[in-house]
Amino acid sequence: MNVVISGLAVVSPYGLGTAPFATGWRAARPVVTSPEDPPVARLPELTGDDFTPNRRVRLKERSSALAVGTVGALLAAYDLADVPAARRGVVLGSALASLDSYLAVSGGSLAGAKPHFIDHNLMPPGIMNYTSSQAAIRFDLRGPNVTVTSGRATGLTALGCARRLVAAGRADAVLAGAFEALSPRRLRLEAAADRAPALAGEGCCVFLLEAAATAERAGRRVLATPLALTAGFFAEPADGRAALRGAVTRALRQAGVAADDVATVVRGAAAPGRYADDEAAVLADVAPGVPVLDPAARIGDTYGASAAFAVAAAIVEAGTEPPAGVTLVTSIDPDGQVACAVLAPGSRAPAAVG
Amino acid sequence: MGPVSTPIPEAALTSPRVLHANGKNRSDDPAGRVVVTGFGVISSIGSGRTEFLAGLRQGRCGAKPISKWDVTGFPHDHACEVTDFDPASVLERLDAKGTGQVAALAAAAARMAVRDADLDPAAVRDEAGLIAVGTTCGQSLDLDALAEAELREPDAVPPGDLARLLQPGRLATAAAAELDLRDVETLTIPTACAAGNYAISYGVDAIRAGDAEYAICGGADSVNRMAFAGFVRMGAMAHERCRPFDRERDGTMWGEGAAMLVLESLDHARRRGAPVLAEVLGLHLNCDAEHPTAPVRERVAECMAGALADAGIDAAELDVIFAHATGTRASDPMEVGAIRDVFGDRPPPPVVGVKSMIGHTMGAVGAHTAIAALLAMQHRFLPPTVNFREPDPDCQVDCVPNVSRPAAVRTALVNSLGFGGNNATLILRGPGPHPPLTGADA
Repeated sequence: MNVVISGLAVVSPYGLGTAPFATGWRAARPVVTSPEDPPVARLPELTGDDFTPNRRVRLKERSSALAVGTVGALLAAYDLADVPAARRGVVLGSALASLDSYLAVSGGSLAGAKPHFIDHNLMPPGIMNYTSSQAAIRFDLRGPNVTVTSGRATGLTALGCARRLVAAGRADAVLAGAFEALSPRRLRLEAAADRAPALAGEGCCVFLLEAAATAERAGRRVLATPLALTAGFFAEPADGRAALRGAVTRALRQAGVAADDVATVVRGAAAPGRYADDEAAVLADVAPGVPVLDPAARIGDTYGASAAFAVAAAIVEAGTEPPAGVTLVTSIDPDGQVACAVLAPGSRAPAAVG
Repeated sequence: MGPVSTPIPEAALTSPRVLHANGKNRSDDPAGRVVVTGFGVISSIGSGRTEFLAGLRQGRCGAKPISKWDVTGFPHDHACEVTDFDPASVLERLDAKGTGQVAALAAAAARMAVRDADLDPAAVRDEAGLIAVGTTCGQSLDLDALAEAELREPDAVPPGDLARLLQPGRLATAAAAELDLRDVETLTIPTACAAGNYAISYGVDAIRAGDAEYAICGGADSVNRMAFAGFVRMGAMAHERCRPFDRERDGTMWGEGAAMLVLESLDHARRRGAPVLAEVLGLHLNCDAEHPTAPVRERVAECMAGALADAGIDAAELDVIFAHATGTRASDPMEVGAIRDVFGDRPPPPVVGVKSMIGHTMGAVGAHTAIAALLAMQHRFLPPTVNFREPDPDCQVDCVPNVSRPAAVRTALVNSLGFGGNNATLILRGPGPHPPLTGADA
């Protein structure tokens, strides 16, 4: 079965919605950064917990609000009336998940007059599948409802999971994506772990995955086709480069393309640091001379959403000037996850891919 | 501590209607059929194959006052903690202290699982693999430690060693590091209390799609302050005992531990001569999409019916249902109703609630329960629902009250329902017909 990406919704520091992202990305415009130290790239319209790109979403947690809002934006842009509710699945994830809400409950228990005198409204967002299940509840998505987390690779993991759910016949359409919000605690933890990026950003990308035949029947244009999604692992920092190279090599082989067919590369590592250097070295070696795009340099580092943003950037790039070949997307996390995708631009997806 | 099961006879493995990712029917193709060849288990009623089996057979209950963190001020303080297992006792490569407590449990259970399956990680290092760990609360005990540190100094930058432990993805990467695997996809699946079944399902689909040759899947969680305070606040926590289906049940009880299963295609298991414990015959995943904490009977029934259809079997073929059976007032009658919806006029088989023994181990519970089902098949008994005193007219099932029962178990259904309306059902089929009971087996 040929599973394709036929829908995209983005909220990013360029603004709420896919259009501001596409415009900002194509202009390679730097985002407006806040005068904080360290500098951050914030979603401009998302203040507090209100988020109203198309439908009103008010949730207790910023990351959930922006993710559920992005799901709403996708459903507003693509009519899924042809897909029954029970056949609509969800796969969402982030790297830190509901860390802030968890700590609000745990900290509230420690600080309260009694340890169980906590704000019960904070409990649901403290459970990590809050975002996925809220998306289901708000938009009547009754199919498989998966929450995934694999650090910086989460976006590619979500795509792989969604692709399999469709291929295995467990859903006809899956809304899959990744999100990460800015919070003071995230910045503190990144600094403490010695992983602070040059510019921290936030946002969410949600993709619609379905069989090519379903998209065609419904008249939804194919944006991209994942020809291969691979993953790997390294335990020691010194092995990161080899692990990423292995994932890239396997992805090209599975996609049935040669290194010469790679027209564009979108990289996912956080810069600066040894893993950004490793990624650059692998890409220079595997696809020498191919332009390398770096979403983090434009919108800030979106951590758990970074791989999803790399895919969104690939789609937006192909939309303006479809490359002759395929796009390679890479991701590497200090925790050891590496992942790679080979994407064919929608209009020229091969007829049948396993 | 190798596997002791007998291999499944060829004819005993019925052919389910397995549709492969390519759309071709794989019912005759051993590469499209996924089997369990081993497991690792850490629980409050016993860790490791032998002790967990003894715990299930004897109907042990792991409930006791929480000892690992300060429960001063809570109106009640029981949970099913694991107090007699040290991950360092099984970890070969990882330093348990530098891993985070829940990740160390996941890694230890993964190590125990490959030993049980007689799978040398070095032998599959060049094959594509998968590690998927379900969880509700991730690195909870380390997050609780951060909460304490922040209480002392709100905006302080935490120590780097702690900051690097907190990502929930580390439950899976710890297992990969312990087994020294590289060509392996690692992910954590925090689909709340349905996560264990979701992780197993992820592995099944990855193997069927040809993306993985083998998968090590399950779940891990610890009793933590966030979940305990939250559920005490919601009035959903049992005071002293978890009593599924009992008239006086007063809530669920958190448990902890880890449970990991080795999954592989039947083809892969045969190639390496591995004994097969059971086949994952079918599964179904769905979401209520209605309310975060009030499950919808109709959706739960659809989930069970969907799994039966996926397995290509009739409900009458089930020998036992391992229910989600949390022991809360509302959830148990809902689930019993859903079971009755699936069976119609026919009586359902025994419906067991293992949370009465091991507690609600959250994201691990689906995997714990699947392992209980494997042991029930292999050792021919039904684990009991303990702490049972008086039947509830709203939950009329044969719950195998208090004492395990000899029984031939070939086909089992495992329900896992999670916060947010997430439902996941597995159908497992073991070998059959059984060989005569041996002295060691009886």
